[in-house]
Amino acid sequence: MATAAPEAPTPADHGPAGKGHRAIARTRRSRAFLSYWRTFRRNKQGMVGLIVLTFFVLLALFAPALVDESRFDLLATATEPAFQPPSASHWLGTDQFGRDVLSLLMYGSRISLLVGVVATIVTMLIGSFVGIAAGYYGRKVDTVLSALTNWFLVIPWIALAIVLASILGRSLFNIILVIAITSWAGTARLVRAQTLTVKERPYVERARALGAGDWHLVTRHILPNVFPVIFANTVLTVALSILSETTLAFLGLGDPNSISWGVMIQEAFYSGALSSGWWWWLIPPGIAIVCVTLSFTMCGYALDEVLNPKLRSR
Amino acid sequence: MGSQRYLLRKVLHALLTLLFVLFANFVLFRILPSDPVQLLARSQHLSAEDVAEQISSLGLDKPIPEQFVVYIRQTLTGDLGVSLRSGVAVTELIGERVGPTILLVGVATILSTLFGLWIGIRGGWRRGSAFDTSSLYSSLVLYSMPEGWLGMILLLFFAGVLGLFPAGGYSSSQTITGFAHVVDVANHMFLPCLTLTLGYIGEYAIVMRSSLIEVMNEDFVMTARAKGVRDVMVRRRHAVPNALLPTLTLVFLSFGFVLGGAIIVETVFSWPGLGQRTVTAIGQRDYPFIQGAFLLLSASVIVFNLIADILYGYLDPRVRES
Amino acid sequence: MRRTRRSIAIAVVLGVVTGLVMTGTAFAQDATDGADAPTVFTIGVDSDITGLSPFVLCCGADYEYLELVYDLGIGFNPDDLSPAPGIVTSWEPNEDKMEWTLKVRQDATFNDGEPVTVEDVAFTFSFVADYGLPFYKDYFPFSPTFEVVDDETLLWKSTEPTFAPEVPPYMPILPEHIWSQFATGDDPKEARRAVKDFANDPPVGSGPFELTEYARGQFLRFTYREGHWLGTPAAIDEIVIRIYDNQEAMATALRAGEIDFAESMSPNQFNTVKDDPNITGHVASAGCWGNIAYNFGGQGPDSSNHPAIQDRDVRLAIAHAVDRQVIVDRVYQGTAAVGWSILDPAKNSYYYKDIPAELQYPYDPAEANRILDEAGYLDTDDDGVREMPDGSDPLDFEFMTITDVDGSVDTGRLFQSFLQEIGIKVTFKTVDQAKANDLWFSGDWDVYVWDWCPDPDPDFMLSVFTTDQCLSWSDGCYSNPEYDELYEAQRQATDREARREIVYEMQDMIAEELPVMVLNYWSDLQAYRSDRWDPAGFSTSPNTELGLLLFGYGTVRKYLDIVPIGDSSGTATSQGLPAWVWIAVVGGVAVIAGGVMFARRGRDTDENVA
Repeated sequence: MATAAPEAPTPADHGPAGKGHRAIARTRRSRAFLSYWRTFRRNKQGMVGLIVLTFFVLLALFAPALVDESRFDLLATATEPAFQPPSASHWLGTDQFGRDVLSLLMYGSRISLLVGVVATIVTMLIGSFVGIAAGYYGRKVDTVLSALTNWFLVIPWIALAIVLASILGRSLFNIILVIAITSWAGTARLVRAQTLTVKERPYVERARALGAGDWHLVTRHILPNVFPVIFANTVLTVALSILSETTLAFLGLGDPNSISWGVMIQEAFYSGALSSGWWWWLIPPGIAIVCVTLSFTMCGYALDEVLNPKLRSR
Repeated sequence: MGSQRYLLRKVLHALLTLLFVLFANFVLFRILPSDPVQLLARSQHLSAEDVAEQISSLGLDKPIPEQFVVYIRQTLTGDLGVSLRSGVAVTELIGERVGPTILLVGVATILSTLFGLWIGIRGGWRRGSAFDTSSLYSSLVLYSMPEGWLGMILLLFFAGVLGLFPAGGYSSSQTITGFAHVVDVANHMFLPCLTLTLGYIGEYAIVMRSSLIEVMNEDFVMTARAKGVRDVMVRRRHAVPNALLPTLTLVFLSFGFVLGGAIIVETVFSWPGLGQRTVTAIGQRDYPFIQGAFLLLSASVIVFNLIADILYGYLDPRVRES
Repeated sequence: MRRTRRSIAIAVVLGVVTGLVMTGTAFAQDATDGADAPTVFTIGVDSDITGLSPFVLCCGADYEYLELVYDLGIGFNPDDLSPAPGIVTSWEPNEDKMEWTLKVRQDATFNDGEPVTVEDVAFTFSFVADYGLPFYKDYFPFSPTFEVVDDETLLWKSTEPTFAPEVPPYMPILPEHIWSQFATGDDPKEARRAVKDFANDPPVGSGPFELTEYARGQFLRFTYREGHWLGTPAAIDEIVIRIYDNQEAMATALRAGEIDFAESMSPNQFNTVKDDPNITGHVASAGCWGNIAYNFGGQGPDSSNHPAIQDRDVRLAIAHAVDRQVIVDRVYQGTAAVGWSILDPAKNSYYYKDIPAELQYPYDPAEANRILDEAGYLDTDDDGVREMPDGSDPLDFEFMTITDVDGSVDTGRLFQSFLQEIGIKVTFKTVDQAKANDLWFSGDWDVYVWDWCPDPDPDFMLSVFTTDQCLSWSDGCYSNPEYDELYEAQRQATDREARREIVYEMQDMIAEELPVMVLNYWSDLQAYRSDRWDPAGFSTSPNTELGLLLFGYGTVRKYLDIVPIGDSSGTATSQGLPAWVWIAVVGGVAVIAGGVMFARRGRDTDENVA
């Protein structure tokens, strides 16, 4: 069985030969990373997820090369018939402006992934900061931060999101902000719990006894041991962020002038796709979302298993 | 003694959170930049003096601290104010809408809990079997679906193509009474309920499964097996109850989110519930209603959290002593 | 073992018996429903009424509710929107038009049994006029007083010459015995608040229908009142208005037959639904027009409008740069009509004027570019965006996309593409109605899409562009002293034709000055089940091709003409699985579960538990 977590540095490592102990730490970390990777590779789910994910990321990055942006110019498509079913020239038909749905689908990956990833990064940053601060400092700081976290957990997130989106207005930046504000509490709670566990570990107490300062303790000891949990959680959170963006877009809170899968579903629905049976416009964006979300989730669960050996099959 | 203190602590914590929610609710809506009365002005052809009147009749021109005191006093006596739009009492408006939401989401939660737990247990216990793999992947796929989209697909197929079920609403508006009315509502509720159930099943199955797997690797299970206890017994008497704990917490938390959880589904199916009404109120900046709805939703989450905590403490003595 | 088998058997028998009983009752229910069911006409709308009080009206279904349950003082002739007898049957002015003699009908009753008397009419009019109650007060200008002469005669006394009774005032007659409680006291503010807060449940009115059931957010049910003076319906006994949360649900309901008539459909759903052989679609003029509105600044310290907007040349260039037909095709799926005047051709028929050809600026981007070039707006830094003549600010307009306004998003996108062709950049600020209001009040915007639905009398629509209406009804605080003068003149005109001349001039002035750019006249898209209801029973209001079938002025009398085809009772079929399927499924599950549990229990007791 491979090692579970990077081994904690012993006091001997904190000697005056700084270069030496860093090199040791680095080798240890890269060895740990390789073992993680090997374990991950053995997880079928995780690998499938990773492959699908890579496909979509590449799609998002190369979309401008594959699809000329002029295809979305409303004047250029002014003469193209709207709401066309799939045909030779438009494999997935056209939307209300006569634009090619397949091109929209490919292009939509950019915003959907961008919002998902960036919103998650912001969520993790806020959540980790609050969680570690609450767990590490304890006492009053913990009480205040926990109360704040609890409020955000308890309030219905959709309602809060709608209120915020209404105040801030509808732009990409604001949507990312809204998702982050409504999601960070979950992360914070997780990180706090993990911080509390790590804080009690013997080497941390030893380091403190030796006179290590807060900053050193947090960055050298707490953070590296909390990080694996954060990382696995991040990947799962991306899936949730993408779903959140879809939900917000469906409620009409997305940026209507951007192209994302969520906006496509919303426009299809409100243009009458359901009652008219335009399945080619309604179904593909949803499938794309499912694929991306599923792959992030599978990767996330695989990572969870890698970092938590109890879940691995024997 | 320990359990009493535990109970007290949890109840106190819940009350404090509730108080904090009250405070935060008030602040949130007072610092929002949009003025609801101005919004009304344009749509209801009000003149400048009418607007001023509205503001004073709603008490919005009093200083903020005074407004806060009035707000707390009113809330504690059950007066959630009056809708800015129609002048109807907020409690009445919410009361009308709560029923359908509780019915829809309650049934969906119960069904998805029962099925989700069963699938999770069966899959986790026979890990790697055909049942496990297929149910795990199905659960993952369901978990990854955008809520509204699944509802749309079902609508497209069952109501649109097959014409088996009505396309939305709560009931056909004829005066049907008694059992026929129950059947009518059941028909209207089938698709939205199915959407929600499928949405939740995935999550519960996955969590139950991982929880069970984690417990299965524990020593006492191996001991029981070594002693020759039948598989079914080990599962039912030892593994499942222990695995159930964290899952139950999740389930109870979900119950708490019941009221707010169906906004999208209610929109797609035109189900006359609280979620849909809240969305409309937010667009209209109907602050009293939004405040009331927020309070109710948050309170239900807090209450169910409390129940989950108490249940957890009752079932797992270790927690009480900490 | 025998014990458990017997238990299972008992459970099964019980289940089957219960099932049969329940099915039986369900069938019995269905049977009695057949016989003498009332003929119901079900209408779908996409928003609920605001409230039951006549003083909280806003939009859509509110007015239909009002005209069903209340009689107007003076009604509308649905054929041409001219005044028609309501509770008041005639209205004659004296020579100086300062006193009008009104005759009140004697055969009207309120739905609580009380007769409608001349006192009720006098009370209603003076209540509104004296307390300045919103919505209706503008119909009673110049502080009128009302004097009861006898049981059927009432005098409308005005302090200045007026046409007000002939407009006619859109005023439902309120029962004095219900509403007089609010007419005490000296404080108009109190009264205004009280009438708004009044639940008015059930509403007591003298209209042809009575509100018999109201499930908020779901439906309203109206029942015909026997012997109403308006007439007897050919077939309809009840009207149900069902509320849908979105257009999709309503369109699907119409196709499924859950509703008979859909009001105000969106273009997409309408276009699909009208192809259904069982459904007839009707394009009516909505009496509303969509436009681009500009901000001229001056709202206050925060107003930040682009200076280029003040220049008529810029607005002229934009008028040439926008292809209105493309907007009609794309945003409204061809269901609107290109328009030029601020008055509506159908609603304001007498006062409406076709804008002359030279003011109907055609789509000509080359011309637009030429105008801007000559006016000095050149692209000095070659980035595709022109700058001000003095080279300072680039022409970058902030477009406020209001998501709640129909067509705002899509028109905005097209607008952006069009202006890109002439070197003007458009940046979007997307907000909902409430936030838009804030920005609008502070003047922090340049352009937005808006819409107006004028009254039949043009006075209100014309007033919107006067200087006075800044921060009230005016979009962007446009100010033109010449226009203001004309407005006053038409207001005071006593001669109809003279007034019309002035109104014509005002329409041309707006078309030339372009404080707003009219884009299109909207359509009200209506559709009904022509397999169930005879198309011959429907007629338009006003009586033109583009008139409304229902939900217009005075169209309530049209419900009396609607007839079903054949003997169909008109009730919507209820969809879904029949009762017996549900019973079978639930019963089956219960039986299986019960059986399994019994079987398990048996096995348990025979085993050793570790």
